[in-house]
Amino acid sequence: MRALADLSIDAPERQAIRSGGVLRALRVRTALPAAAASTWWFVLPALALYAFIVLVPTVRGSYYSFTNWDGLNPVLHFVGWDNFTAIVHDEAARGAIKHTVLIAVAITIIQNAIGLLLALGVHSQIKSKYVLRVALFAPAVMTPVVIAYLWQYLYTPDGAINRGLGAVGLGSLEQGWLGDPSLALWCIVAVIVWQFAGYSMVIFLAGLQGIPPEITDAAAVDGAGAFRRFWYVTRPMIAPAITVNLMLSIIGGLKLFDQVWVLTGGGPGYATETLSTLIYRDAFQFGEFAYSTALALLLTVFVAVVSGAQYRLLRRQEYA
Amino acid sequence: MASVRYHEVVRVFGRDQRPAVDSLTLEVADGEFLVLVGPSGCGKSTTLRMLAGLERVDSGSIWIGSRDVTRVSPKDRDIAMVFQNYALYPHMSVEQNMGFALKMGGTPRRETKVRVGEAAHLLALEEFLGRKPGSLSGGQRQRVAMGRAIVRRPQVFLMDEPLSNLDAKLRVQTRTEIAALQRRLGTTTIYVTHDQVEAMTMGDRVAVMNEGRLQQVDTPKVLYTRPANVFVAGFIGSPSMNLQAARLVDDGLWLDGYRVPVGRDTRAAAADRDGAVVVGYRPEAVELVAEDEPGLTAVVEAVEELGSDVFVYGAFDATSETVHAADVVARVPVDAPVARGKRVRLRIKPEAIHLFSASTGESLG
Repeated sequence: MRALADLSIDAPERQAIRSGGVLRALRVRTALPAAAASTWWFVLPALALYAFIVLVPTVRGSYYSFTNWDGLNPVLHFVGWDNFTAIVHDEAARGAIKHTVLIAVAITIIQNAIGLLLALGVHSQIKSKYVLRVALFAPAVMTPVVIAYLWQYLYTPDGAINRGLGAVGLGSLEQGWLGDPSLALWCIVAVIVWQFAGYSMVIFLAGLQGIPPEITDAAAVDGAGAFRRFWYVTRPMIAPAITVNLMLSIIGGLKLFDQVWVLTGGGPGYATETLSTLIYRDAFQFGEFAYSTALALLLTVFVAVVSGAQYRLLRRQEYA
Repeated sequence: MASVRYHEVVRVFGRDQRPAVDSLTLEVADGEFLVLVGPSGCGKSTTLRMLAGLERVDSGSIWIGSRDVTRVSPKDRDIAMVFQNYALYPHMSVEQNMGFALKMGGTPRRETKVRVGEAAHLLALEEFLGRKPGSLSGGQRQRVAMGRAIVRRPQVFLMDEPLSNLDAKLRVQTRTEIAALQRRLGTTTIYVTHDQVEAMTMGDRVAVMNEGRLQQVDTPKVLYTRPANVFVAGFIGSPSMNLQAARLVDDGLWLDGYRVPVGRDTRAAAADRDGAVVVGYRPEAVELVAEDEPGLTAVVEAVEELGSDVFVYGAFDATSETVHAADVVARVPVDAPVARGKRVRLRIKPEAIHLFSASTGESLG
């Protein structure tokens, strides 16, 4: 479940969240100097676990990326920047970086645009809004791998999508969806957006529900139509939700693995290879452990830099 | 500036049986300050919101000047509204808040600045123009909300309980300021409140509503002296009018030992239920008399000393045949010998008695 994964284990995300403090709601002022000494004991088990699962592997991984480690031989040789130089000259790695960025940007834009529209829709007075909220959020609670298998089935040449197109007389639009190098990447993006637009919607909805209705009423009386009410009043007031959503989706997009692996395995050819799939393949299929830890470090730094920059940019729009 | 007219306006929420606003017909003259008053849930805010266009009108029509605005969107009605919790835009400075409507209306930036400056000067807000609402006190926010309305120079001001979030002292002060400001600007104003003191002190006329229906609309003085029905009688005035069930006998109203003369027409009007009426008299219509004089005996339950006035809260003896046991409030002189638990003799001034039909609650003249 990406929803939880975003908030729990991955090193790059942790760094991003810590550096930016994305979840402002969780930031509570608890200045209790007298109790400080004893409170550390309560934090210790979680901290130890965090160090064991995240900090130590991250540091060791960073170290391995400067060696020739092959995953088996305990004797390591320091090779300096060799692994990183290799990345620059590796066409597959350059392609993976390109695809990763493309997927992350596309997901961030499309998922949030749809999520926002859905949130505005179910925030209105329509009768079935509660049913719709549940229905639209439902895909987000399903396991990404399961969703990916389902979509893979739908995307097959004689799958439901092509048959549906044929049935409504649009047979000319039938495609070999995942088999077409120019389409496969967008097919993956569509699956992610389908699954997580409802997740973005929920975050936007929380923001929208925090706006007192009188404020939009006041804007209406002040002469603002629906679009200008959104642009001048609603948008600035949900800026924190926008920040959280953009951060989560860009981070999620950059580290995307499961869905790509299931849907295309990085193919056809290398058409949908992302940094995550490349790291996995190089490490566990080709045994290039040092090289793949270098790629992983690159991804970590990349995610931290992008999300940090994004956070600073977005925070400026928040008023409080 | 313009007049406002509600014609047979009805609003029903969801599956409610009873309309929130029931065939309301009301006219507000150009430049008038009309106060809509009533208890919570009486439909006064809905009435105001329908005029603003924030609430649908189920049937009937609403006119601003000669224009039917029943189906016009809020932004095209040329009205300004002050909300109970001010509804300031938290992400905008005071200046931006006040200038927002002008910006939406396409007023040139320079003119906006001048007009915001004028309003800020009028409301002593100049030093706060750069601040965000979050850093202002309740009173300052209230003034910004007023400023946002007056910058507009709208046809009509709508105010929805704009003082209810202020403390008592500031509320009294702001009350006077708003009334003075309205007279100075001469803009037609409809002001909603549940506070009858606000209603009586601010409005040129006051419209009393209850359960979605307009009860009476008139000047504060007429509402006080000639309430149209039991509801208005009990709602206007503090402490409220004493109201009790009584019976008309022969040629008058018999009140425990003395007769109140009542006209023939009144008796005829009350005849529908064997002369059953509701009698009403204000606390100041009750006076303390000596034990042996005609009047009603009551046991004092509480004494409220307000400095200039003393109010006695008492319970009548339930012995009388014509007057049913009821609580009574009397305004007595500050030096009157009253104390809790004491028995007092009260006389009701006959000329200050109001009679209402026991069945309809309407005044019997």
